[in-house]
Amino acid sequence: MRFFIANVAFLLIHCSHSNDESNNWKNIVRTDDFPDLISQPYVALFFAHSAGPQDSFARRFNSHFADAEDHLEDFGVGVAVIDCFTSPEDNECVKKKEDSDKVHFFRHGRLLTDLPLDSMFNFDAIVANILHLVLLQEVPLLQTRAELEEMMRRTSGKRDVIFARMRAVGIFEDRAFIETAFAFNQKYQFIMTTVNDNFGIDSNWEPGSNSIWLLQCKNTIPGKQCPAIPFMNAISLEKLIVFIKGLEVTNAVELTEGSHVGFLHLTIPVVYLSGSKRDIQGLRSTMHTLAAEFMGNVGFILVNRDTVTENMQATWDLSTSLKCTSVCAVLETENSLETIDEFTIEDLRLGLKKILEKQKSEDLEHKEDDEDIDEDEDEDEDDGSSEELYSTSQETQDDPVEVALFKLQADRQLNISETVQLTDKTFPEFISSTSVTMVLFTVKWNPICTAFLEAYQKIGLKASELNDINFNPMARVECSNWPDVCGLNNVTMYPTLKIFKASVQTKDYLGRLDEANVLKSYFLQTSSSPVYLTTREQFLSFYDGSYPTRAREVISSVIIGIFSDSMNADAIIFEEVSKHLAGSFLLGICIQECSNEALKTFGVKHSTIITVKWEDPYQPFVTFDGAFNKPTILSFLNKSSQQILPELNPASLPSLLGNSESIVMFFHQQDHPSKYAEIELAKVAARKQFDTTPITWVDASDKGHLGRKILSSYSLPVEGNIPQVVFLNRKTNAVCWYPHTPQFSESLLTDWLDATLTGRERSCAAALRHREWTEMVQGYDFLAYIKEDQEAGAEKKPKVNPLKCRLKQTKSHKKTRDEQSDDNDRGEDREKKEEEEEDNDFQSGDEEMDHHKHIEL
Amino acid sequence: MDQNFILKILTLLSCFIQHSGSEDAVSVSWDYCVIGAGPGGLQIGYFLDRAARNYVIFEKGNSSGTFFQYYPRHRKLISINKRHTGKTNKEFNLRHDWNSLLSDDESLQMRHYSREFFPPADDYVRYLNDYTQKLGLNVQYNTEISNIHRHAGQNTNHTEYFTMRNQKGVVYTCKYLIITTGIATPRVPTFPGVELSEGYENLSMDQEEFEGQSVLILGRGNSAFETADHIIANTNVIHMMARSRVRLAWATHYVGDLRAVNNGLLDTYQLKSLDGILEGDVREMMLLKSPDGKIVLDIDNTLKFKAPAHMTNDSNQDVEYIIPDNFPLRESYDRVIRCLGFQFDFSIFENDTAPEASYSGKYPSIKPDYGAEGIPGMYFAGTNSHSLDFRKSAGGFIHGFRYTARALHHILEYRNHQVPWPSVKQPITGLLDHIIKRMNEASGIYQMFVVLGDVIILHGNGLDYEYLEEFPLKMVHRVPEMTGRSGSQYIIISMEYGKHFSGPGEDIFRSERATGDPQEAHVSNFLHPVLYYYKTLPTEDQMMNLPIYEILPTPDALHHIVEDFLTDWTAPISHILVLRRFLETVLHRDLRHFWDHQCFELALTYDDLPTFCESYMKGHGLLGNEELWLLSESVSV
Repeated sequence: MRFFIANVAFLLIHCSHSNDESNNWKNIVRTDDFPDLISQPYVALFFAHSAGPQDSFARRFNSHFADAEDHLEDFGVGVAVIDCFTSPEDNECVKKKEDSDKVHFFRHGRLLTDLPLDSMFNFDAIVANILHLVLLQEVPLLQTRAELEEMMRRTSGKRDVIFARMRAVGIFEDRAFIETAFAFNQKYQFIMTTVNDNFGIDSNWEPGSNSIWLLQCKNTIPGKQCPAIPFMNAISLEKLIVFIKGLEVTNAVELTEGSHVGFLHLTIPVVYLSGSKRDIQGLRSTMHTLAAEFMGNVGFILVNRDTVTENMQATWDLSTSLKCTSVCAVLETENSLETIDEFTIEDLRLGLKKILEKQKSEDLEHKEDDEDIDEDEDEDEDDGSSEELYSTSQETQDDPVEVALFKLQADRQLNISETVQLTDKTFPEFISSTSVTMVLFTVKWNPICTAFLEAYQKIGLKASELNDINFNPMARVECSNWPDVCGLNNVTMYPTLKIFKASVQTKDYLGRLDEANVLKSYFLQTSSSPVYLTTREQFLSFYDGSYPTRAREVISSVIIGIFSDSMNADAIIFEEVSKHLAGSFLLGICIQECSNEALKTFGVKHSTIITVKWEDPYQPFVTFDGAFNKPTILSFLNKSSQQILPELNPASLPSLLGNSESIVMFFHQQDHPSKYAEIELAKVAARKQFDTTPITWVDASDKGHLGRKILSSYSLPVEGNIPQVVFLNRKTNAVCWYPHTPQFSESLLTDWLDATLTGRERSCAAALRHREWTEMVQGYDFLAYIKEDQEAGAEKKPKVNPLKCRLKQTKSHKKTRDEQSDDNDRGEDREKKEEEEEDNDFQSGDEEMDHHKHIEL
Repeated sequence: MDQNFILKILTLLSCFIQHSGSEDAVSVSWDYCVIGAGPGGLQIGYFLDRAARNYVIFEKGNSSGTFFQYYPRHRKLISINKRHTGKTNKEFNLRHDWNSLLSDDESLQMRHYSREFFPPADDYVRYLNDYTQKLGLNVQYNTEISNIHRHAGQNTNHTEYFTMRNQKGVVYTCKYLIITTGIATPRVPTFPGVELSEGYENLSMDQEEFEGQSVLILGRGNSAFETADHIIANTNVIHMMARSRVRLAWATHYVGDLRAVNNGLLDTYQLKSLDGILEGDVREMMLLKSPDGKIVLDIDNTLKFKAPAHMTNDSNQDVEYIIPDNFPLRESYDRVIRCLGFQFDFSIFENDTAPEASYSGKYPSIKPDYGAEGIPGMYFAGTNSHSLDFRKSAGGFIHGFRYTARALHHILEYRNHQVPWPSVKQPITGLLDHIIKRMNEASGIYQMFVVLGDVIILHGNGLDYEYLEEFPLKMVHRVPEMTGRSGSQYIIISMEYGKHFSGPGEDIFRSERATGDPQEAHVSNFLHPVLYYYKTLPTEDQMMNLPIYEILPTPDALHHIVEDFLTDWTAPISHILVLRRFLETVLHRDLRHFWDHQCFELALTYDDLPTFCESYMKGHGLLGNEELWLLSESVSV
């Protein structure tokens, strides 16, 4: 099926359909396949305890359930029947023995809910029920007017709502609605009710009917009721998509040369309002009034007969509109054309309603006819007419960063005017303008580049303030404008952030694109390495982060090497290390008065290195006690600057888990038990017994917090208990939980961690969800399209844009003999012939021998 | 003193060392001999020079670009000199600069030499000589090469080499030969009375000589129309005759066809102002001179023209033809001018070393690697390599062959010196940007559409790719052997016009001539990027048996980027999103971008991460801010 979008392949690798003819459950799979099946994001399973369906209801269910498999695959949902008849002793079969009249729906490996078999009475019911579960969050079912008002309040000013009132879940119309919701729920808020009430949004509603409305909340102030526009067609997937597509284009167009009429390809009724110059103002007003009432349902075109040009006539079919002598309206549908002369707005309104009613009843008749036919036939969803319309899913942005930037830039301009954009001429000047400069190399279409620009400006301004310079030392080169500048700097990835010292590039900044890290990097580049400290005052200010100026605002630790004098062999090694680490750490060589004060402060001897950590309450400083050589010192510096019990958050995760298989996460909140547990865990961490496994804390203070969300995803038996300690091994996907909560002590924690790391701990389970990524929306399959076109005999003619369907084709002209002759050229020897034909015209090929007999004027 | 300069000095010294004895006996050796210092020779010379190869460019004239000292006869180039594009992107701007050669010296751009959109040829001669001098190319002037002969393994090293002589008998020896002599020999047809006609190459430029004359021009190329334009104000009538119908460059997208700049005669023909164009084969015609000195044209005996006995020509044929009384060319002419183009000069080769001629005899027959058929070590660059893409692309023109020369240089570097084709290898997260950048600015694949394409090599682990620019598409099946680069899967990017952009029966201004619908991108008519994905490279057999209109064999997946009015393929949805979906499908990877907190959550809750989050795990994440996070909340990760 070309169109459907969400093609998360459901890997029924082991889903070998049984060849045993005595077992006539369709889609039946072995119980061994159960773990693979539920590893899919969404799967609906029926556990069959008999050899086959036992009654007519079960037989019908069996047939429709199998049909639904292919259909739901396109929505990323797996469907299968588990064979418990041949494996009755299987654990899952035993558990589900009592539920033999239910379909079990699993989401991300966990049972979400059961669906009673009697609610799965046909194909529509199976598909609709399951899709409602898939979209449980996205498409809420409302029960009261208050809930609807709350939903309006929440969406006001943000997005429009598609609200459906259905007689029941699982009917044909409901399936059409929920399938539409699947495709468009990122753009619209879909909601539904089965209560026999439309909650006062439409006074013309006929109680009991299935209806759908657009609630225009996007442009409504919170607290006000969103205006409702009814969907005026018979409810079907195709018509709903046409409706939604219709909402995306303006349905009132005043025709001029070059007008874009976006609704012409949607097969909705079109009203041509025709008049001469003096009538136009009145017609315009009528058009806009009705266009608002019939939004998504009818398109309006205003034709000023006095300004219609030949070009316009050639482009649009205006023959009927131009025939009337005074004011007229031409109502055009796929099958009818009606002209109303000298109308009032009420005439037109009624006329339109009549047309729409007629169309609706015809559609319903067709539907009933189709249903009759489909009784004995498989449904064929591959309706070519739908294919074009579904293209919106291919073209619906699903990149979160792109979406955010698109919305942001629709709302306001980026505030980036204080970041200089460099050119080939200004680039060399800029990098020599001060001791350290940074240059961000961007391309305009990359969302990461754009998303970082405002932060980058802030960093630059902060850097100029810190360094007391009167210009922003951070600039930008847009590589789509200056590929030569980017090429000379070997930039091939975007964004790239480069640091220049005295016009010479030092290195690329490879860290996180955030204010703190980039500023820190800039600060460290501007600081000398090492910083030479000779006085007591220098020691004290270096120690407390006020020297170099405002260091503590930017970095969280400093390293002090304390030596008797700078010529000391250890000091020389330390100096080398400092140069090596320039830009990464702030290191000071402390001699003379400084060393005296440092020795007193730390209670150490000469030739000592101290790492001072201002933000580590459990370990304010660490003393180096290894052999005085470069590798040992480097290792010490890297480790000692980490906090004993660091916070695990989006910024720290890469450094904490980047090189480890496992991590300990202490989920805590602001209360005494958490604080107590933290102190005990810090003691464990300080002993460094479990050096390869970082011990961290995660903020789980409130329900909306990421920490809570992560913790709850593990589905631990102790879920909800905060504080909680969890061990995660990303290699094995295992999560082990600390079983003694709420008792936390150093010894219990140590024993548990020891048991966990040595594989003795039993409180472990596979908790990371399996994610084998498949594209949510497949790329356009142009190979298939070309094949289709060729098979349709259209290989010589481009496919006409649907938009152009109603446009007049240009007149085809009869081929001249020359052209026919040229047609013949398109054969195997074309290349050679063409070459021959160039300007050496006297060298004719045989096929041209007769040509001269027909010299043409 | 730069390294190149030192190498040049050493090279010259080595030449002098080998130069001994009397002038007739001298023998000078080079690794690369380039014959001809026109734009093609200078361009390949530049690449050889910058690669520090031992090379010489032989030029028979006393300066570079001697062809352009005389041609075009009316002294106006028809290659565009678009000085402004509104963009600062120098690579992009080359898409609209049809005269400049490639170099690392920005002053060597034609826009600095002429303000004219169609610059004077004399300015181009000046440009070519500046190019030679500023870049320090090793051109040996006043050296007319002939007697080119290939020796197969006859020297002490048993390697193959070429010898040739100059006009004084000096012998030169070269390992590799690159012929860049262009196509400068006027084509003169044979038909009775040809001596009564005059050639474009000898035509007087004095318009007064045409005052009140009736002129028949043979040919329908740009030189024919250029000539007509030059004399149209002076003549009674200009008739133009050629075998096939006029092809307009703006209709065929082939710049060798009639350019709009020269088509004044189309107006006077279609508006019935005496001038006219008709189709006829010059091989079948005869020119006769009447006693009053006028020239009469006759078409073969089936037309039954009874020639008066006193009409003559040098063929002394018995002329007893009768033509219909309304024969279009029944009036006599004062002049008949041949504007029938040029052909390659095969006389510089000895018989056993002469390359085969192409089907028409106009070009030497060459292979897709620019080598001569059957003559190892002999290559062609510049306009004489156009047989490879005649009527398809721009390889016969400066703005095209400056890139094919670079492709040839890369081929030679790897084949002869084991220097692999230049490439960029980097993480797969950079691929989408890389492709977008290339398709928006790359000039080589834009000018040499369907001939040169970019090759993306995907490596087995799917985490890295390697990007090679401007590779000859006809040799795609030989990428590893030609470039020294290989991988497990390949994406080829080619720029293509639609198959139905023009041709008989096609109205190129028809209302549906272009599409804006990304899903209909495969029916785009204007130049647009096309991506071919291959799980394994096409085979030689597949390449050799391609249907005539196919650029490459059917790939495992295909993607067209929809044509764009502005040739700006950076639209977030219509261009970039659908391209990303294609790449995601073939790479089987999620190529979206995420905020750090999203990667953080995914890393702690899923066993596998999107590609961008893998990069986050290495510390290269993006924080964003609350405003942006909120705006992207609707997107499911």
